[in-house]
This record gives sequence, structure tokens and C-alpha cells, in this order.
Amino acid sequence: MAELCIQCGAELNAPPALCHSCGAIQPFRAELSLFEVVGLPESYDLDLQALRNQVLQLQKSLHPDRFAQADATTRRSSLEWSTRLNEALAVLRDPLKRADYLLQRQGIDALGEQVKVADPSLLMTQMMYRERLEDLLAARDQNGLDQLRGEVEEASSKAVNKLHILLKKLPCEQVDEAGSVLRELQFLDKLLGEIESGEESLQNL
Amino acid sequence: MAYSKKVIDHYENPRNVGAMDKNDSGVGTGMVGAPACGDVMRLQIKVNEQGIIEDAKFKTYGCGSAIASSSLVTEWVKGKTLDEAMTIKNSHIAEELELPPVKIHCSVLAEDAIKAAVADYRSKQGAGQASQTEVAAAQVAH
Repeated sequence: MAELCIQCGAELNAPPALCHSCGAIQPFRAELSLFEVVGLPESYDLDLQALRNQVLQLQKSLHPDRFAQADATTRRSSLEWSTRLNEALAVLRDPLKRADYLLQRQGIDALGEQVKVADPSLLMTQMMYRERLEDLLAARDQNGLDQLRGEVEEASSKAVNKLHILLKKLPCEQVDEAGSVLRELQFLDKLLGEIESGEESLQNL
Repeated sequence: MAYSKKVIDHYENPRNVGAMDKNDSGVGTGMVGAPACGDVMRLQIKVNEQGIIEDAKFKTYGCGSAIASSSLVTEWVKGKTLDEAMTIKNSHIAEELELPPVKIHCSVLAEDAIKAAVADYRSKQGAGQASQTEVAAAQVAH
């Protein structure tokens, strides 16, 4: 059953925050997925340009600044939609967070605090990367750091490619494998952060 | 969040940082990781013929609490038997270091690391005994 506009009664199209007939802002619906909020199909293979355009356009019409004079209910709806749109953009544009979100929608918490990694080869690789980074920083070896960053970025994009394959069909059937690739990507992401802050500290010396 | 004095002490003066030869049959290596914070921890023990942990080393890339937890464990296990080392619980670590609830998982990681190191040592010894038995069996056959 389609939802109807609270103001003009027209059937609401996706994305459902605004009525496409009369432009009225609709009551916030917390049960909608981030994909539904931005009006894009639920998929890992997301068109990032379309995502940005959608969010930008919706924010223009929904932003709380536009409703400063409106009644309290409308102001609140605007704030709730707008906050949720920011969240959708932050989660969906990031390959790591997007994959995590899709798995969480299936009830799988691959990156939870309780989750630990015992895969020896993954840990060994991470340990080696970390030791290399430490040595390069101590030696202030900028070329070496660039090379390390390149390798880590390549490993990250390989992991993202694997996620594209594993999450092509939803719901994902190989959740264990998707979870372990996601954890690898999380380690690589943190490592890239460490490389960047290390490079910054070298430049500030 | 403020770190306790004990955490800061271990963080600033970590005990037993380093590496041992993981191929040495007297060395047990435990590696664990927590994806949530990107931490990686390696804890190694050197066990003598009497089954006592003579030395311990660690290397942890992570937050202050993770470093302090592993540093503390290397101090604790020295001089202990393997069975005694296996009784170390994350709650002891967390209590000693006064870790806040959000950092309890760091102490869990350190407990897992020592358990993994003991298990690695034992599996090496088990494998060694098996091969000796095989040698003995082969000699009997001849």
C-alpha cells in the first residue's frame, strides 16, 4: 500500500520525504533504510554521483533553514529528514561503511567491538605493514612511505573489488567471507590513517 | 577519557617490547587483532625445559590501553608455568590497569594473545613429539 501525502493526498514516490505533487514535507519515517531515504535502489554498486545529486537536491528542499517560520511539527520533520540524509551520504558513499551497512541490514555485525580476528595471514600482513611504517617514519623515508601508501591503497581497492563481487546479489549469501573481507578493509583503512598522520608529523618536524 | 596512571606508565615505558624467533621450537607466538579499532597485537613467550615461561615479548599497534594490557601480561607471565599463564583473565588486567568499560576489549585482546601464544607453543611441542614417535616407529619397522 502506497503512502499518501499528508497535505494533498497524492501517492508518494521515492524518495518519500517530499510530496512530488504539492512539495509538502512528510512526517519523518525512521523505519526507512538509508537507500530509501535517498531514493536509490539498495545495492553495493552505487552510483556515487547520483547519490550526491540526490542528497544535495533533497537537502535544498528539506533543510531546516527553509522552515524557520513553519510550525513545530514541520520544523521537526525537516530536521529529522535532514539529519538522516547527512547520515545516508556519510555511510553510503564510503565503500567500507556501505558494505557494513548492507551486512547489518542482514543482521550481521562484522565490525563489532566483540569481533576478533584470528586469521594468521591477515594479522601477519598487518603486523608487517605496521612494522614497516614504524621503520620508515624513524628513517624519515618519504619515498618509502609513498610506496607503502601505494601498496596499502592497492590492497584496499582489491578488497573493495571483492566486496563488489560478494555483495552483487542481495541479501549476500557468503556472509562469512564478506565479513572477513570487510574486516581486512577496516584494518587497511586504519593503517592508511596511520600513514597519513605519520606523514603529517614528518612534514611538521 | 582519561587513562589511569598505570596505563600511562606502561604506555610511556612499555615492558618487554620486541620480537623472538617464531620458528624457535621453544617460542610460542600469539597474534590477535580487533578490527573495530584496527589494533594488532603479537605476544611471544620463551619456555624452558621445565615448562616455565622464561621470557616474554610483545609488539602492539593500537591505543594506550591495548599497549598497556599486553605490556602488563608480559610482566605477569614471566616465571609462570603454562597452566598458570592460562589462568590470566581479562578482568584481572582490566582491574589492575583500571580500564574504563569502553576499553575492556583491549584487555580481552591481551588475554586472547597469551592464550594463543601458549596454544602455539603447545602445538609445536605436540608436533615435535609426534615426529619423534614417527621416527621411533620407523626405526622399529626396520
